[in-house]
Amino acid sequence: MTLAGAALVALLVMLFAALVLGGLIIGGRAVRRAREAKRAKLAKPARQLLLAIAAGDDDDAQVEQLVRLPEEVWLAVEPNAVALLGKVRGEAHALLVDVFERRGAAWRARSQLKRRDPVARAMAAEVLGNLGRKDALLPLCDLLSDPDADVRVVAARSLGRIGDAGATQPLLATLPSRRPVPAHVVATALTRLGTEAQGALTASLDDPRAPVRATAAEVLGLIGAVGATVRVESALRADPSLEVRISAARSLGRLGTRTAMAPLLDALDEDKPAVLRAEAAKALGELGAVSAAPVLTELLADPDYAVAHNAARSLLRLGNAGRAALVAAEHRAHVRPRHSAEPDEGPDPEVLLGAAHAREALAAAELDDHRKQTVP
Amino acid sequence: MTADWVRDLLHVTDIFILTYFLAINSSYLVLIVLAGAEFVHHLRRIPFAGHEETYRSPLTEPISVLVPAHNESAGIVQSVQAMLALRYPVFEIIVIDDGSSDDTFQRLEEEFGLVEVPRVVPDATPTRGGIISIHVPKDRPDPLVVVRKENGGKTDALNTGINVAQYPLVCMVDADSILDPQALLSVAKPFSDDPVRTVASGGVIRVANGCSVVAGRIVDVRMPRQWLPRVQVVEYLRAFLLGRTGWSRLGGLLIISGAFGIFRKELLIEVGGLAHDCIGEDAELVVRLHKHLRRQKRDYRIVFVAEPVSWSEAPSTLKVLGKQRRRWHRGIAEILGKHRPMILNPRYGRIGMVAMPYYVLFELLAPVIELAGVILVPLGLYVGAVDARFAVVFVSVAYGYALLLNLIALTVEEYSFHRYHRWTDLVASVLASIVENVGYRQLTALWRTMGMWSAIRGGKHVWGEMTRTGFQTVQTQPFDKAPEAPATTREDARAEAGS
Amino acid sequence: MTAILVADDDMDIRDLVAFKLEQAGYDVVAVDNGLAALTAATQNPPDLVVLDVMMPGMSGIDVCRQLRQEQATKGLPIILLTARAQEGDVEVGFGAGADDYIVKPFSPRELVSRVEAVLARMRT
Repeated sequence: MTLAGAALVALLVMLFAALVLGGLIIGGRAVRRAREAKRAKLAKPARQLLLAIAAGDDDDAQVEQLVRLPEEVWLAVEPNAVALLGKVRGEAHALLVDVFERRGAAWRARSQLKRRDPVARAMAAEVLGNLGRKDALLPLCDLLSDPDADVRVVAARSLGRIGDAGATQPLLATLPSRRPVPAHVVATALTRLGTEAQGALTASLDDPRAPVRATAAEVLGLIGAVGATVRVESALRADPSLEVRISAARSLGRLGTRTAMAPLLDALDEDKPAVLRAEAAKALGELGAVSAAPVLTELLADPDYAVAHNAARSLLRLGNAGRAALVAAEHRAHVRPRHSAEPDEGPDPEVLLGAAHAREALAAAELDDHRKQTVP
Repeated sequence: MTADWVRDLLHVTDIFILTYFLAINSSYLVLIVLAGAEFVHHLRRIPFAGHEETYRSPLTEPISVLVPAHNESAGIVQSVQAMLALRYPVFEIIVIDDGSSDDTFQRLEEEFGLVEVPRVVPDATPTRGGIISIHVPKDRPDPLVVVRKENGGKTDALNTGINVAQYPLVCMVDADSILDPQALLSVAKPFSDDPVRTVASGGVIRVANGCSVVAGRIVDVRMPRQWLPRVQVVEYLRAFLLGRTGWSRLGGLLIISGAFGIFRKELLIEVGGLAHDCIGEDAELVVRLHKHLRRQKRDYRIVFVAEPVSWSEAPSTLKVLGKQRRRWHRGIAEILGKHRPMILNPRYGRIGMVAMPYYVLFELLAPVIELAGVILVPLGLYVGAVDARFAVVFVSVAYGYALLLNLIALTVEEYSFHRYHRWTDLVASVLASIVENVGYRQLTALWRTMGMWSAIRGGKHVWGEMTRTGFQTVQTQPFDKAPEAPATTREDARAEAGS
Repeated sequence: MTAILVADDDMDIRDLVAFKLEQAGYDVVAVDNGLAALTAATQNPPDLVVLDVMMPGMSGIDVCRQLRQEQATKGLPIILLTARAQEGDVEVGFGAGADDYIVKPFSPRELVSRVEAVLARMRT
């Protein structure tokens, strides 16, 4: 076959392909429209019913009606039902869950957990989390090591929603694994496991794996586990991992116990990494201990921006003493050094930098005050 | 004989040009197929994307949104209002007024009741134009910061923004972009999915012309009424949406549009921010990130999010379009020139071995070869180097292939995001696919060649100019026919850079 | 009949809130964006407004602030619906002049009792 002949064939193939594509576009759109219209039509009456249930109407007849809806109709409202599940609380939520349960949603989801399609597994995990099925704890923990990253994330989230403290260790164990779940997902889930998880979290501060310790420290702060303060303090003092020490510093700020002062002040030493110092400076403000004011004032002139910035903002949170320190630091910029040899020499750059941070913080505070006042 | 010699040469070059056409289009086909696979993957996973969880979590990484503005008076207030209403747990909007000569700042000041505040700004990235003053709203606690600085160009504005930014992620947005409320949640998702490795993620830009905008949001998507923007809709779809998604899937994404991209701030500071004296500063940044991270042998991800979240007004006159394309291509040429040592260097992995050579071969040189084809094929016919029947068939194969690709792109859009819901939109986009191949392509090839030439010559930068009318608040007012609004001609923020 | 204006861009929530309040005997007007809420509230002031904080264009906070500035709607009771329980949001909401706020996910029954409580407070 000649080149031109081949080209002619190619042209015909392309013409054919274009026609097929045109058909696909038009056909696809028509089918989608028809399907949407059908869905809307089917969903309309069921939607009223669904809203009544979601509104928390404890009307058995209505629940029964929803449970008995033909599969086709239910599938049309199911996306709305799932969406509402995440948007309501209390008795309304319980009623909706009941409808899902009685329609066999939990049973169906469990049968999908081992499907080869990762999307099916993730969907199933999502449903089990939405329904808050405690009996799904073990299979969901298994999914935490799923080869698909999205499935792992959904499993972790669902475990958080179920809120059973038994998931604490399995969730933490994903962090250092070869198939990790992002730390913030694990931490968010852990915050929802209630007070029972505190023991396991505190014990995890001694785990040999640094990512586990870091997240445990983080979560203890987020859930306000004041009982764990001493342990978190020693993590800040002695943990070999910087990541853990940073989490511990942040946590101590959230916990707000005064005993944390000493280790936080130590964490400010100049030989410590700047990230840690910045975090400690911030945490000291949250403790609100006036005795931290002198150290924080010194930090105003720190060459690291974040350290100085956080120190200034923290001083604001120490009440009048902190503000006075900021005003003084700001004032120093306008004072000529007394023992200066050169009469015209201004304050040194450190003083100016400290003053600038102080000025910024004071202005921010003033704005805050102003906004509070303008509120009727 | 000279005639024979010329004839032989023409014959060979014509065959070469036509083969090149087939090769380039086949590469597009591969990218489209990859993008299609990516869409299927992405769309099936939307039901459990977890945006609500991200939105509620106290651990979601906060974002500083940087909005460089240079004479953006017409639309700035509405843009900022829409940006303040983005759905994201913690973020701040930083508008950098890069020495505007119009009332950009005054409009913001009036609308948001701005008051000047003292602020320490670290010099984390190099800047040229000094900061004049920093302002925040006085009465409302809106997370808005307006920085007034001396004119220094877009790069300088962005670097200043990076320095002012308080949060670990920064999002660069054009002041005239219309963002979807979900924009930050969608484009920051790669950071949430893989916080350790993700360093940058880019959002797709779509054409806003023709769409109805209410209160700074796209409420109705439709094809533009004019042909020039219409062709660009199809072009954006194929080249940007599908092309970049394909590259992202291959792990070789080289361009994140400055109109919407999220970056890890720490890393931007590490590489020294955006480069001054560079036209395609957004693309240059991404290439430099690749270079930096590959050299350090770090495991990283630079990804593209296909979800339609950002809409921009496309040029609707040949003059403006020409300037834009000259600038773009000059940018590509300069970036590839600047980072020449990376090309075909195994040290840079698939960036050096695949993505960059591809860009040289099929992006940089494409317009030159296209132009050569426009001239040499008819010439070959004229001197009889090419058989007429052969030429006609072969040219129609080349253009037919290109047209087919547009149709595939339209099909993919129809089955993925299907944002253009009218049947008339469909007709318009099919017609636009045809128009693109007759006239539009040849014109852009000319402009792009000119851009490349000016890069080689290295003379005075050719900057884009954009005439914008500002966004319409009026209900169902189509975007592209708003001549009632006072039209403000302005050099866009890029315009002053480096000049 | 007591009239309530509901503004939320989320159709599920809007319909649900409207349904629950109608059931509780209120006259409900529902809109899906801030601008429409503001227009509806100023043109035909209801007895109470339920505003979602996060809406495209004008946020619930913006609407709240605007309503507080207008003479006709200065004293209009406003309840904010927010998806974030973070302190800042609540503070901002009260700062803008809201009378109460409800965090999503919410209990529809609680919503009604909050509405009743705010209305009762207004009458006294």
